[in-house]
Amino acid sequence: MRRVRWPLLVLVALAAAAVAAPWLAPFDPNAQPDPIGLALQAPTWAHPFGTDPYSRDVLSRVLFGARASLGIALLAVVVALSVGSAVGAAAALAGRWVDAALMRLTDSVLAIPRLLLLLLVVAGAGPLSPPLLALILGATGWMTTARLVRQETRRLLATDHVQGARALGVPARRLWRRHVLPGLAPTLATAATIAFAAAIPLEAGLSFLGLGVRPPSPSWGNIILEAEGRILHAWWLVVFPTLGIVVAVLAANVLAERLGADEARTR
Amino acid sequence: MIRVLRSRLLQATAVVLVVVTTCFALIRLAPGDPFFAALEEPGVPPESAALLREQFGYDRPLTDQYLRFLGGVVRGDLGWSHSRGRPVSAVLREVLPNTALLMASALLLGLVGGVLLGAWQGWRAESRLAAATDRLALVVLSIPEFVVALLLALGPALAWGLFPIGGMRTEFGPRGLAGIVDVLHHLALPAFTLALVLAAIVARHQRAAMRAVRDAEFVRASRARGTRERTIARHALRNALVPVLTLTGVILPSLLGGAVLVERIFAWPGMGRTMVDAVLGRDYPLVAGGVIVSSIGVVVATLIADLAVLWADPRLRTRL
Repeated sequence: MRRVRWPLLVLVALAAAAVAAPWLAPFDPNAQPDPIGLALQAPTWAHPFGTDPYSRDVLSRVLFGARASLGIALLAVVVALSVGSAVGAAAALAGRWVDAALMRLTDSVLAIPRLLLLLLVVAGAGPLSPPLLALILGATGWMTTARLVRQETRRLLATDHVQGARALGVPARRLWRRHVLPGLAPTLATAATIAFAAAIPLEAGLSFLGLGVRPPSPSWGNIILEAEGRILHAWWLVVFPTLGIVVAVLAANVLAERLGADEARTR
Repeated sequence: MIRVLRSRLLQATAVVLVVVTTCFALIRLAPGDPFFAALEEPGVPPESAALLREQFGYDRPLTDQYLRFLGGVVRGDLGWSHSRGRPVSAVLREVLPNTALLMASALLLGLVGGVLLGAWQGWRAESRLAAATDRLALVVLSIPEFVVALLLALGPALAWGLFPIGGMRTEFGPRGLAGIVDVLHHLALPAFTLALVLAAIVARHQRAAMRAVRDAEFVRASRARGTRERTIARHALRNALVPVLTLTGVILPSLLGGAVLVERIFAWPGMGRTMVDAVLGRDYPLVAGGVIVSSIGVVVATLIADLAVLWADPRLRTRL
């Protein structure tokens, strides 16, 4: 538990900043006080992260952007975890050809570059609303969870305590709920952090292409998009949202690694 | 060996079939057909809209369309790109070599760099420098490729003017040998961007694998026999390569996604840029074609990685 403390703290702090954005942000993220005089100001005390080409305060936009970016990623994780554990558990419990078919399907979807799949969805359906974007991010990110859950469920089903419970005549449903599901918790935690670390850059990339969160609503990706073509003259437009992305992904990566290591050790 | 190969090939075919089916389903789940935006404007007579739909077969039953789509893919016909007014395969044939060049250079640089760095880090795991570079790699792999492109590549390139920042060739530039140098010059930044992130991921896995092998029995036995340290390291590396080679197939899809963004930033005339333009033009036959072709690329690369694994570890040749 001690080893996972700091990455967990970082993630909680980021989430808190996102939730408290309306109180923390010094300005309205979409206010354009002076699009001519105040545009593209380097960081000052009044605007610690500078201003963007429309004179909007970048600090406020990064804070509100955290809501979009983290919120979408979180919802995507929930979707990915639900679909993934359903597929993984079904494969492990059913076995035989269902297992083989589901795992082949998982491998096949893994071979499709996720960003390209998202592009295909956007091409067909047009620009997506943030909840829909999260849903589709999750729907394309369940494969790792499915594999992890399948593996762990198979391992749990073969353990003595589950075998023992089964021998004592515990019905299948209760066996699953009381004896297997609790054992899956650490695996699900690892899978969630992995899914989170993958969802953040994807959302940022899509928004950077102008196909994700649509302006004027800020997200970390589309703030960076504002720097297109003037990166030397507006480095603050890239550096500060990037910091948000990297800190979130790094914390999730470290957390996933340490959770995985803890899991391996307790086995 | 042959049996292993055959089962791998069968798996690869199944994967491609699922990819094609997914693409078709996604296209058909979208509202209307590729024409709906253009033809549902007022002023387009319904008869000509219907005629066009009939010409492209969008009025047929779904199963019929699916079989035609599948048959087309087998023959290399990926449908019609409405934004370009050309067959999808013709559009992709033009840009595919450019993306292949970018990906191949990035893979080569990233794999060699990552394997060497990781092997050294694993072999000298106690050194401070190894630990520090490992932590640095963790940070680097947490940065999305497009930000690496903007911050680490485009910024310095603009500030010092060392590298061209966009395109693939100088316009009206040199031909022949000088032309190749020109392309390499343009290739440097986008390839470096993708290679850097790849190297960071590969190095971390290579380090773990190398550390595990370092403490293996055969390494200690070899050392006890008085084998030269360099030779031991080489033998250890060959044994530690397997997990990393397997990993390559796993990273490739995300690397291709990164390439889309990197191509967009460096105006590299490849598939990624074509696809982004196609998305903006709501040209989904072209996007679907791109998805299918890149997935087939991933499948082929995974097959090659599997073969490389068999080369690195002969024990696996007899198993499945």
